[in-house]
Amino acid sequence: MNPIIRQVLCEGRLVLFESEAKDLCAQYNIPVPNYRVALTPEEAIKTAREIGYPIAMKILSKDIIHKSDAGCVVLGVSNDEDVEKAFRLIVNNAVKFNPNAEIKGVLIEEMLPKGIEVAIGAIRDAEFGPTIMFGLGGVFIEVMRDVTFRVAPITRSEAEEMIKDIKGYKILEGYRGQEPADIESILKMILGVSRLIVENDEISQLDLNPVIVWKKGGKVADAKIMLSQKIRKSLTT
Amino acid sequence: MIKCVEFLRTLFYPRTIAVIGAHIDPTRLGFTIVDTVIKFGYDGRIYLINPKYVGKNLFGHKFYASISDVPDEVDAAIILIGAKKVLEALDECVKKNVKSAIIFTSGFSEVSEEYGRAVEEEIKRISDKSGMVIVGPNCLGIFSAPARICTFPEAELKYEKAGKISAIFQSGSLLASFQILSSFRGFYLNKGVSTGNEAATTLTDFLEYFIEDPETHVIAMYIEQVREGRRFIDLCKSTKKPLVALKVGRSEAGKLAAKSHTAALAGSIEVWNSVCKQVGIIQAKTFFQLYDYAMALASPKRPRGNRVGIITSPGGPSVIAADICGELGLSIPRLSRESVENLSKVLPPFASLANPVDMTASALEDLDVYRSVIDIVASDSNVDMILAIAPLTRQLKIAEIIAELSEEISKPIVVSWTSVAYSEELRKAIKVLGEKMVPNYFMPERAVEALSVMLSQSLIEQKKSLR
Repeated sequence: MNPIIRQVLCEGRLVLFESEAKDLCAQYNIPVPNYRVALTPEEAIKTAREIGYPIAMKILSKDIIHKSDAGCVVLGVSNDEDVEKAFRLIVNNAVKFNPNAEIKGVLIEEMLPKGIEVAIGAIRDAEFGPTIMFGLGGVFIEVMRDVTFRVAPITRSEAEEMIKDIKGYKILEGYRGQEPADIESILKMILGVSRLIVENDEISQLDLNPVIVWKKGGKVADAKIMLSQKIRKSLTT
Repeated sequence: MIKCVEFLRTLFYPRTIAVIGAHIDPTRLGFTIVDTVIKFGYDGRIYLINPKYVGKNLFGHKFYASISDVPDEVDAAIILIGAKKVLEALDECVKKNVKSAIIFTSGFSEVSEEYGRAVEEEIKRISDKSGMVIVGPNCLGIFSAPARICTFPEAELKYEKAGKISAIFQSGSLLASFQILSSFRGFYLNKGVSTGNEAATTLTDFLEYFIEDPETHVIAMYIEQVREGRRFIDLCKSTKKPLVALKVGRSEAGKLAAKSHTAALAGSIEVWNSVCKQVGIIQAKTFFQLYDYAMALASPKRPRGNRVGIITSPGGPSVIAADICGELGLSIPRLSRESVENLSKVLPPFASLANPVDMTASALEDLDVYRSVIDIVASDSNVDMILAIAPLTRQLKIAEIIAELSEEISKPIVVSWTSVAYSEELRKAIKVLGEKMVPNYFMPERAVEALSVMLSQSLIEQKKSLR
């Protein structure tokens, strides 16, 4: 079993922290932003300086799933003083939201420049097993549901087809002055996700959304990985 | 998982059959099944099993008390007895080295999740351990034209010929409908199976067999649920044989609670749509499409491009054809100068020489004109496939002309009637076209869909060749 997953299970959780999800992605060569977990405002400042401003700050707590809704995400923090303020704000909001919330720390992460948003996900289909999903992010996935699927393990040419299959494909090629997206980097990420889901039976669902893609390269801005209920049952019996 | 494709072959070419639960009472299924098998023309040995009638005969076949009393090998056992006795019967079949068993009996997992499923798990164990193929339970059995065997009573039991389409259906009554439709439409079935609850042998197993079966040229599937999904995918990818499937959506019952975006978007139908693209399955959305597409795919011809030459005698239907061509990405190209010149020599001045070529009613007076026109359009290098829309009269003669031409032309040719009922003449015309594997449809919209499917299959086969 992957040590990250084993640790999560040992702690009695089925949902990985964003930091753990990104650690796992990094193991599969899926590019993630620079980040570190800070336990105190001082650590946060030190980390922010190391990563380089501006940074994003997000709560890490198994009891807070919708971080933005709980007021536990602050973006575009650009100096030491603001880091300290934001840290306290985030923790206070977390406690307000759920007084019993167990807080692991605050994720300090580089802000990613604007680019084209895509989404890469994975599920275990009841009939066909591990299945990868791809779509453009934002309104394309939320409203238009413009997504495609392929059953894993997926080959490079299947990944290429899957990207071309989405209705909004032209947007990846560059649209109205927007620069084209680095399709090769999307391909590599899809192949990485394919290996990740196939090699880790314990994962039931995975969402990389948004993934920000630029003319060169791309990085996963947010990652959610959930483990299977069945695993917990088998561990506790 | 089948131990042996050989046993599946035996299921579809059984030299001997046993009917466990056969009956002399004509109101009972045990009578009807024997009657059905005989009516369709099975000429192998039939053994009837029912302890109540030992010593008696039915249609000249003897009754035995148990399958172990049969003085012969048994290739296929049809089991009709009550659910409670099925496991016992299977054990006896295993002892007798029966190669395959078909359990018609219902009342298993489809009615009882716990008890029924437990019994089905035992059925699977029996099959795994012995290697015996077990179809069902809760199924209507098999159809095999080359072996003259049909076990479902609702079928068209008048034997015509062994066709090229084999069917794997997870609904017995729809399989019967499909077989009946095939006998009306003239592209016949080769083999078919109603798989029932798939306790042991699954759709995926039959797919593996039909892929290897040299008599099967097209595999048509009606799917509610794919078991052994990974193996199903690998099998589909491994073959260039046309695969066409109609899959019906499942209820939300099996789906995990959608906590993530992906899970919320991944309905089983969305995933299925993608699977079809990934492995090269032609998707049918309705029952009639399933047959229509199977017919189109049974033709050995494949178009090289998407350009359609349309020949029509009443003009109206060609407009429907043109619209659907547009919707499906088929183009209606200009004919070459040479073609137009040649057409002007045979057609009256008021005919339309553009594509669609409207021959007008006068062409029907001289069917040689009809033949020339099709020939000219088919020879045009701008045309990849031909749609001939036939008028309401002289259908048989037209069919004969097209059937003959089709043998000389390498490009796919598809016929659209403008009829809506099976008149005496139309039935004959359909048969003539069926003999030469010319797909034909009642209306242009279905004919154009067929052309589109033939093109899709071309592309699928090209892609698979590159792998």
